[in-house]
Amino acid sequence: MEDNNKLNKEKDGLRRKVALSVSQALFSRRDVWHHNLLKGIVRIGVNAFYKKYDFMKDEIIDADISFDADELDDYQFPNKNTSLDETPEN
Amino acid sequence: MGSVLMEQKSVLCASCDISCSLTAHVDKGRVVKISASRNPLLKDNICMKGVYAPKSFANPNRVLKPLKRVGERGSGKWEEVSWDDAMADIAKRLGKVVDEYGAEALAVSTSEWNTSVENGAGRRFMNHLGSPNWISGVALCAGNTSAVNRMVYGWYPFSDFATTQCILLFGHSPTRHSWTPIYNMIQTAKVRGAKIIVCDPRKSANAEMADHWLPLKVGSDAALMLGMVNVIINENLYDKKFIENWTVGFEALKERVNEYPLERVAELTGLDEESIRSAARTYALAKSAIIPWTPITDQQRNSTSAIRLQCTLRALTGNIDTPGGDVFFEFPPEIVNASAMEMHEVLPQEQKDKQLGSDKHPVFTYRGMEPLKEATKRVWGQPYTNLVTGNYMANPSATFRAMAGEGPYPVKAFFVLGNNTLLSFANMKLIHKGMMNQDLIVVHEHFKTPTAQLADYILPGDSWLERPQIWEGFGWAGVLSTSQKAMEPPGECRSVYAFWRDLAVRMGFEEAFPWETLEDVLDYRLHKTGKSFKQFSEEFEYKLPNLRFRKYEKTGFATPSGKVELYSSVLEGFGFDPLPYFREDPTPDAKFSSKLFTGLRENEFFQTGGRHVPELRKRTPEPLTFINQHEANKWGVRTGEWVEVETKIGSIKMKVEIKEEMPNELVRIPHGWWKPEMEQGIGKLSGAWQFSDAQACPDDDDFLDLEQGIPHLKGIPCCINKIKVNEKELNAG
Repeated sequence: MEDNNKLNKEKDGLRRKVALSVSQALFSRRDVWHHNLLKGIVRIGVNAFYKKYDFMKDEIIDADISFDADELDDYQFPNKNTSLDETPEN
Repeated sequence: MGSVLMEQKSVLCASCDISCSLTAHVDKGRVVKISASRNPLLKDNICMKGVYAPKSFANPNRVLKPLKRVGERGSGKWEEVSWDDAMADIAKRLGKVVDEYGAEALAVSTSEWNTSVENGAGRRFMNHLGSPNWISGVALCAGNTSAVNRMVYGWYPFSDFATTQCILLFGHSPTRHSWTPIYNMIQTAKVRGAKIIVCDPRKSANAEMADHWLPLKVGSDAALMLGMVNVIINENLYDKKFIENWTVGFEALKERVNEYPLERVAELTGLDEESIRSAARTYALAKSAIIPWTPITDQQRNSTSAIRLQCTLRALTGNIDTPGGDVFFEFPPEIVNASAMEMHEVLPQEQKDKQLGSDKHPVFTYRGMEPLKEATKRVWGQPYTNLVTGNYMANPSATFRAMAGEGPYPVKAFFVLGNNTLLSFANMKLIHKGMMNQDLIVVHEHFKTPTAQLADYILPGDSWLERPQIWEGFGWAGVLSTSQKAMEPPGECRSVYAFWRDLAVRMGFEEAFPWETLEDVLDYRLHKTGKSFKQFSEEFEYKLPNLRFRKYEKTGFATPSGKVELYSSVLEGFGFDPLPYFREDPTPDAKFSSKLFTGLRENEFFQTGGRHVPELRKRTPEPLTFINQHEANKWGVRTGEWVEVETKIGSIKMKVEIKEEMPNELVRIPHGWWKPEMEQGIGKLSGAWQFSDAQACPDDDDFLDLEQGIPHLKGIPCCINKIKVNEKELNAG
């Protein structure tokens, strides 16, 4: 019985280690081929899941909103032709 | 937008308190777009607040240089000054306050997010100066929950949404644009087949999809849980082995819950007995189950009992530190954690003893945590563990009273960092009185908030796009993640760390702040990894915890008994009821026959922030109160009409929106409204006197939780008065 418990614990430990390694690869910013491959495979699975269950679908997020750098600069500093590294007049 | 060609940085969003991992796209030195993380598992963790962040931080009204008050307090007259002049004067005036009144005369209010990602610097400064009077919104939101959890089993668990078989939600209703990752995880769990139990007076979206919906009376959560515990014990549904080996006080608890038979609980909660029994069985019989954190039970006059009963349910069913249960995540071992950075050990005991409110309401104060200190060191390796930054706080109401001259000693200097204090706690009139009684108010902010309008100095703060950051999940969620600096701060905006370090140098304790820059302190916090912050952040988006379950089998629990204290020795030591209970509401004045529920979370905004962003404001231009048709008829009002929602201490103006999911007698109002475009200065405060819920929320004893001293925000007696409003005049102030 004790041996069985020990074996199960070792199996659990191994499973956890594998799960953590896979997860860590997904949460890595390293640009290495096996991490990217893993991310690609998971992306396919995740996309398929959310295609079926669309609770995360959203028009604002899907609109892919972005801004123009010059327009943001003009917005922040309306009274002066300035850039970020200059001190604006309030 | 050709964002593929742009530089991309990985950032952590601080537009709310969730810290989603996002991607910032940089063009010409500006962040021009925010998209989700490139990690497929995080690809949907983004909401509209994050998307519009580049516009938010580019707002023309953002404070970009230090401002010094030149007229009377609140007169709205400011002059620009240099950082050096501002800090020299602040140090001099703070020194004068400390000389005259003692170090405890400084109080600090912060939120730890938005402008404030402190690396422990604020508490470190205060501990070296000698002030224990730090307050935060976490007194009403997760920080207090963590303190109560620690009293029961020594730590604060985070729910394992990924594998759980059952989710028990108390009113908490995350949406696609609010607490987005939690929403995502709940929905995913539901698809997986997990049972969902929702305890919520209104039929929320989560209630719609739930297996059990318990529409309890607002504020009766503790009573409901006493009933559930009663069922679980008397039907022998509890984990006998865990109870026998790892808890104390089971028999006393059994006696207590027998005082709450289902007939009585049904009466207290407005539920039928069978629905309570059925939900209790579902929870107890699930293979694994979680009770995620909820702000609802943080903000009630029975808060301590309600939170303890959540802990009790976890313990009874053995769902503590187990896969699919509520898990004790350890501090990330790779870093010097924020609690250690705060250096609570240097604050002398005599100063800790002066912490405001700790005599009457000790739970989340130094006094409340003292009985756990030795056990915490034994189990978690250090005596001070400030989970969710909420374990060594002064009581906010007691602090405001001291500021107003009504406390045991005066508070005469008030520093506010990334926190709109005036609108963030109950009894705004008291907070206002306290602020008007200060010798020095310093606010580190993005905008001239109502709080900032009363300051002596407004110092320009950086944003989460403009600074590097480490996030350790508040010492709660187990993750370690990093945020890269995506752009330079505009104007003269600086980090909160720069503020504290500069002040420490000027006040004579430079040796406690040896790191000159924010990057230096991040490098120090990561030194155990052998990597700099730059290297580490280029490698890791998240560093996941080394998952280990049932750690208590080796260490015991971090409580005085080493076990789960169903009967609390700590609370008993302070003279409180050691067992959970339910305190019924006082009989209200007949005039106030409805119940106000504040804290309604709008998707577009977070707390008091975000109303300056045109695209978001357009979606919710005015504060709305939600009632059902029955309630509308009762008060003679219709959708779209302006009303005053009145309580015994104040009234606020809102527009009516009729929602059929609302129950009778409940009036839901949003938190934190002011209008940045309205007139500033004393008497006006950009609409805060008209719209802020803080002035309708009382903080007298009837409406305070006994053990924590936090106010009851879920069920304040109120009425609705129809008013005629000229919107143009109203919005002019």
